[in-house]
Amino acid sequence: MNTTHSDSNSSLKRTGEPSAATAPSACNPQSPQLPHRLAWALMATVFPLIWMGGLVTTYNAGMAVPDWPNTYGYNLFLYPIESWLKTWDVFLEHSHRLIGATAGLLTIALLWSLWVHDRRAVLKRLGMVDLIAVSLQGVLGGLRVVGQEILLANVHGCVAPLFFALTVSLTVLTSPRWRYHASRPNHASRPTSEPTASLSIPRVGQQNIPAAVSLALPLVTYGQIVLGAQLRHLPPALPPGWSFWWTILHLSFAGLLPILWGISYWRIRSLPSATIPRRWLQAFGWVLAVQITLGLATWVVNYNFPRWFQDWVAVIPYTIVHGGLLQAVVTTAHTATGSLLLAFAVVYAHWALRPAGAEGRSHSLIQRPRSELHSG
Amino acid sequence: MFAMKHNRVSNHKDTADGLSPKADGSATRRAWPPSFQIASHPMVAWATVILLILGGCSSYKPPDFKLNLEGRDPATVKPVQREAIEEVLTVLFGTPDDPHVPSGVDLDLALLKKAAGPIGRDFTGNERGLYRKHCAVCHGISGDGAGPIAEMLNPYPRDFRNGVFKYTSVAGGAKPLRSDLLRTLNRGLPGTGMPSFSPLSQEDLAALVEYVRYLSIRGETELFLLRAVVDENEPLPLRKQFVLDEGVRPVDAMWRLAEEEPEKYVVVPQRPRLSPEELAAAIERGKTLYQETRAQCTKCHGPEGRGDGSESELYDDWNKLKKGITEEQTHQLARWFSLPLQPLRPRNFEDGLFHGGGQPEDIYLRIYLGIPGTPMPAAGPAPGTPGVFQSQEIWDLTSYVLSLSHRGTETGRKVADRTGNKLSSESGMARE
Ligand code: HEC
Ligand code: HEC
Repeated sequence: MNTTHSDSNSSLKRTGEPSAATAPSACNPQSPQLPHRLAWALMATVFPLIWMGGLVTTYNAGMAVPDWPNTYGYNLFLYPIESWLKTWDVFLEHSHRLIGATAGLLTIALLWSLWVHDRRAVLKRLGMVDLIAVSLQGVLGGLRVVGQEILLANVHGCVAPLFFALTVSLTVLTSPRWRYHASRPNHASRPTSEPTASLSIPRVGQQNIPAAVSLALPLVTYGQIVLGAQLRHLPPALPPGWSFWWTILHLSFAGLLPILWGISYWRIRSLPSATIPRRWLQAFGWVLAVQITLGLATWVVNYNFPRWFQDWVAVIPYTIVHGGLLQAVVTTAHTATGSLLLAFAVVYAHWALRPAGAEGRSHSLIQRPRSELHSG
Repeated sequence: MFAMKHNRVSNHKDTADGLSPKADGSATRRAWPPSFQIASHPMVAWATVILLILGGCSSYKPPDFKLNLEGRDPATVKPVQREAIEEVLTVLFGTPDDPHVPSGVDLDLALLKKAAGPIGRDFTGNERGLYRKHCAVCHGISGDGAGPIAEMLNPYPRDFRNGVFKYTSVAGGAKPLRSDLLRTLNRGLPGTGMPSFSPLSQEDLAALVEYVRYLSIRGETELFLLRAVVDENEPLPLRKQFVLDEGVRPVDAMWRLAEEEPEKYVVVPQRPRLSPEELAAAIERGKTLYQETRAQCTKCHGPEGRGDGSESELYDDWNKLKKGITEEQTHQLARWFSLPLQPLRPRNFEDGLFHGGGQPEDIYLRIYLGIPGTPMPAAGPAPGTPGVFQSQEIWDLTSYVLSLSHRGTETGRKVADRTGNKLSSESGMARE
């Protein structure tokens, strides 16, 4: 890539915007957009898939179809539409399987396109991991049905956001913007006076974003999702103490995330070079606010207002309606937004932790002597 | 930690690369964040975990009913006694997956089978496992009220096993009617964790009601057995006939009482139609009655009905056993119960939130029948007792209590008259 940037670089700086046409690519020039489009399509399938899966859990419909991979003896794609639409829980479970299958097919297409159109070996590997993840996820879902095993439902629920995050990662890495920034000149070997500051990206440990904090955001978000999944897949014979502690942990992590977010934001709030990660961090902040609100609402629509709230804040007459629209929407939205939050954290971490080889200016000053030693 | 280390290492490599670009373009690796080079590692870890899980537990293990040892030192129950009790219970009542009905007991086996068992549908599309699908997270497999999320709720979910229910229409300690349980399922209990199940079909609700009765009858038989075997040293092995005659039949008889003799046990509220002036007068009379000493209402609910009476330490039947005389004792006792001690608060009428429903008929029943299982006493007559108040007085009290929930507002009186409070119509309790 370094070999191509010197000529394309000047045109990029003039437009100031990445574009597929000008982005010098690590990709096959004929169809550089295909992997990115497929990654988008996959992402746009997986998010509804997660909603659907969340609804299946909310309505306790995981066992509505007794067999797998067939549906009531029919091939997945041949199950009659009338039966599919007749019963709510069957509808949820079967639709979930259908969207899941679509996601699987799209993942195969994505891997193929990466193979054909993208030269980055590591992307191919990531595409493969994505395919493994989606297959594993499908099998897990199936075995959960066949084995009537709530623990597998639990793991299935925990792998889903991972697969989503992986897909999001692929979407970022195949994007023109990422490829554009990846192709920025290496200032270490160029005059440092170039007016590229607004586009350059901070570097781990160098420009005020400690790696630990940037990584902590997606990690803690994921931990929080796992904790939430524990609360949603409680084996019925579990003694009550367990969920009490899961809840305490889930609430503590919920308190930790805004703090982590605050630290991250404080660090990059005024760095002119951190525009992209800062925007993603802002978006993460908004989604986090929505998610915390949804979390509180989820408590209320499942457990009613806690006693302390009734005693100290207000008595709001409310009756939980099991399987009611409010309960289903709020609870499922809380699950799905958890995955969305992870997606935002992952995108943010990509930009915040970008290797600076391509564009980091300030660090290059620090690193130069040692590197020169190396190259010399 | 792990990820960071990787990060640092690979950054190093990148920088070195970056300053010695290779002409063949192999430096493209740099476009890729090093932190993700290990993306496959967590996947590998996950895969391992999952394989372990798959190896360990992909077959369905049916759950058991848990022996009711609430408030007992488990060490005082000998293993032979335990086995004997569990065995006879299994013979008579079956298991959570395969319920039986002892002969002659008023339970519908077909309905029970729909509610029992693991969640799911068979190949004809018939659903079963309704209890585990909808209730077990709170009420537990055994109906012990100690399901996985029980500790998060106040009040705790009902432990069905002693056959005591708070919101019924029956006097004299009779067991609830099926219609009482059905009403609870349809409307839920406002302000508590108990949801309304109005979105379910009538058949599903009937199955669930039957299953609650089953868990109760089984639970009361179990308590009888524990008393007989552990406390009174009934000789083992237990004779089935003895258990049927002494344990199951009397319990069954209690459950039949109100269903078979409704005129004697069931209280049917007949709300008087009052003009605004009459209502105002009724509220005044109610206030006087409320403050009378024979009513005792103020002792718990306070002079103004704010739930701040002198009787401050109250517990329901399920919790009062956990309360020792000293702190120390309470602490000791805690080990023998599934859930920590939870105090009970008398209602603050100003809140306008009534767990048993906010219609005048509901309040009337609560005052008439008391709230079984709690200190809240019955004020109306019952078989064998004349009662503190008669129907008319209880209506006056009802009007007074309801007028407090909208104190001072003009609408308050109208609401008290027509709808009790808005609650019941607002919260999706469409059906009854
Ligand atoms: C989210 C938790 C939760 C779920 C789910 C739940 N309940 Fe309850 N239930 C409660 C709580 C809490 C109470 C006790 C309220 C009180 O004591 O005032 C209760 C009380 C009851 C009562 C006693 C009412 C009375 O008059 O004393 C019955 C019967 C009952 N539930 C049946 C069911 C059935 C049947 C289901 C499943 C269809 C179910 N519950 C699901 C929380 C739950
Ligand atoms: C010994 C204490 C005590 C006395 C005396 C008492 N109550 Fe109560 N009352 C309670 C408690 C405790 C509750 C709450 C029970 C629960 O939530 O399980 C309650 C609840 C109520 C409720 C609410 C029912 C609902 O559906 O939420 C009403 C109405 C009520 N009491 C009216 C009265 C009236 C009228 C009197 C006098 C005739 C009275 N109480 C006397 C303790 C008492």
